Amino acid sequence: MSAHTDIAPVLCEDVSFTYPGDGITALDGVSLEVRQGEFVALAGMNGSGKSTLCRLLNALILPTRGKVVSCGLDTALPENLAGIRSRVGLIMQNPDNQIVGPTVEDDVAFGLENLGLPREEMLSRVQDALEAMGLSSLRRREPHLLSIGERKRLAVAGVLAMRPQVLVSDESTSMLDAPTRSETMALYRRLRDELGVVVFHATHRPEEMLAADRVLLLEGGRLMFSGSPRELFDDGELCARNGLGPPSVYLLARELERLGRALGDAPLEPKEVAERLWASC
Amino acid sequence: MGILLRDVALTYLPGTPMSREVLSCIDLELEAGEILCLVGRTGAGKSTLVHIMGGLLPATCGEMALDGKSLDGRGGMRALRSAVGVLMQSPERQLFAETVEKDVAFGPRNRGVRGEDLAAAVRGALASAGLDPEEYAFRPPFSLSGGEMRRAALAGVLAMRPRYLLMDEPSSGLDLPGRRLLYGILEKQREQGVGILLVTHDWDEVELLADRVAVLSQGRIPLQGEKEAVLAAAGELEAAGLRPPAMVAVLAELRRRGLVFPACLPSPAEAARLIDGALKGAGR
Repeated sequence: MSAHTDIAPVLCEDVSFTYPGDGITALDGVSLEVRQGEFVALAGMNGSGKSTLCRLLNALILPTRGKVVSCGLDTALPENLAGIRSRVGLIMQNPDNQIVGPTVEDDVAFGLENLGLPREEMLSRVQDALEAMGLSSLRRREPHLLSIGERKRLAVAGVLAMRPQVLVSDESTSMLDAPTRSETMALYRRLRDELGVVVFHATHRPEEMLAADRVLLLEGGRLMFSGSPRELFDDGELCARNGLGPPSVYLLARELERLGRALGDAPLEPKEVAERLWASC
Repeated sequence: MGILLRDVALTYLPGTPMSREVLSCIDLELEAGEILCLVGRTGAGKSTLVHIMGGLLPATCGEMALDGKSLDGRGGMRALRSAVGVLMQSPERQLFAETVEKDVAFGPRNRGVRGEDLAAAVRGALASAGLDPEEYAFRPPFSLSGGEMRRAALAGVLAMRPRYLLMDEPSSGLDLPGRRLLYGILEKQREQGVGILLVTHDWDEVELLADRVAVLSQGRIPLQGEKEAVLAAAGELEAAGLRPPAMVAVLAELRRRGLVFPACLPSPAEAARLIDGALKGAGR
């Protein structure tokens, strides 16, 4: 848990970002605040500014205008850089962009070695991260011999070992199969519940948005919506404009509601739908 | 017409202590003019199967045929490579030339196509991939958006005029408009008689595009057939480590509690009516 629970883990004040060179404004006046222990989904079409926002949060890039404060640290101040990088973990779209070690366990240990941690502490953190991602049996494998799903899990393990307060996932679930995606959502929820980690997950997938506490929607670099997944999918016009088809489980819940079988808050998993239906009649 | 695989197997490092069987007993046919979706968990062997069908990796054993002609050895692999276009995962990472036009021209140029024929092939491939040649031909590929880069890579494959297309998760990371553009391209190719093997994790995509579906699990194909039949087979999909489509899964959960439903692939509204009816029938 953060030592400063009163400070919002993520705060953006009127943030704009223009890429140098082509002059394209990727983000335009975005203000947002993410609270302690929140699991936020970041939605928006390709080119809406999702990746730019993700990179701003751990100071990979700095805002052209406005202010980004991560874990109480202003990203624009050079002296904050090390603090931000150790508190805000970024999982990229393509795991091969962040796998560096010759074996699975070396890769997970890489970030920790740079923190200068005692050996015991390092070993136990590597162990925990490998277990959390189900990679213990592969610890001595070479990363390039892993499947894409395993390499994704390895990239997450490397970030988890740093014990971040904020986990930023830039479409970390694309290329994963459905069971692994839903395991990843369950993992993010567990990190939130058990460790109080703030999860900031950029995604195109409506069913993953349903798993979040709140959805932020970017449209052309502007923040157009902030609210519960259900509120988002209730706004059919906004969803259609942003290429979001409501998940079929959500549609089923609405149809059942029309037939007089309300299920309460939008259930996530088919199993939960069945359980709630059974309990309610 | 088609690519036929009979009892095909692939073992990495056979005869050594490191020997690992990746595919076994694969019976599969990709026919001309169809979209065959290949689904399975990561690590099931999908990409390996794509490599074998594309003539990029020799099978350890089994028989293969292309359009009725049996294939063997190096000649067989060469025949496959000239008939089959392969679009790997994240194909935009293979773009390399200074302009989109040069990138797309790379394949046909290596086959000796030159001059006006080459220019026509490039223009045709760009148009087929939904990229207006006027607008895109002379741009550096790296100035394109992710979705455009994906389609530029696809244009490079289409420029070789393949009779079969093997696509390894072509829609991953694309937003809905990007996916719709891609689906339109695939449907057009199918219309023109191209046989397409589409590796995917997305049931919505399968429902929309597939003619047939094959399920790969731990290197074998335990289930294949018409789309509706495969997608409604909740138990078999679960046994292959897959989550059935959401509506099929809800009905399967309720069946476990004693409700009776036909095997089907319902829309959310149809599922709601079925569930409501079955619950009323059970007096609930």
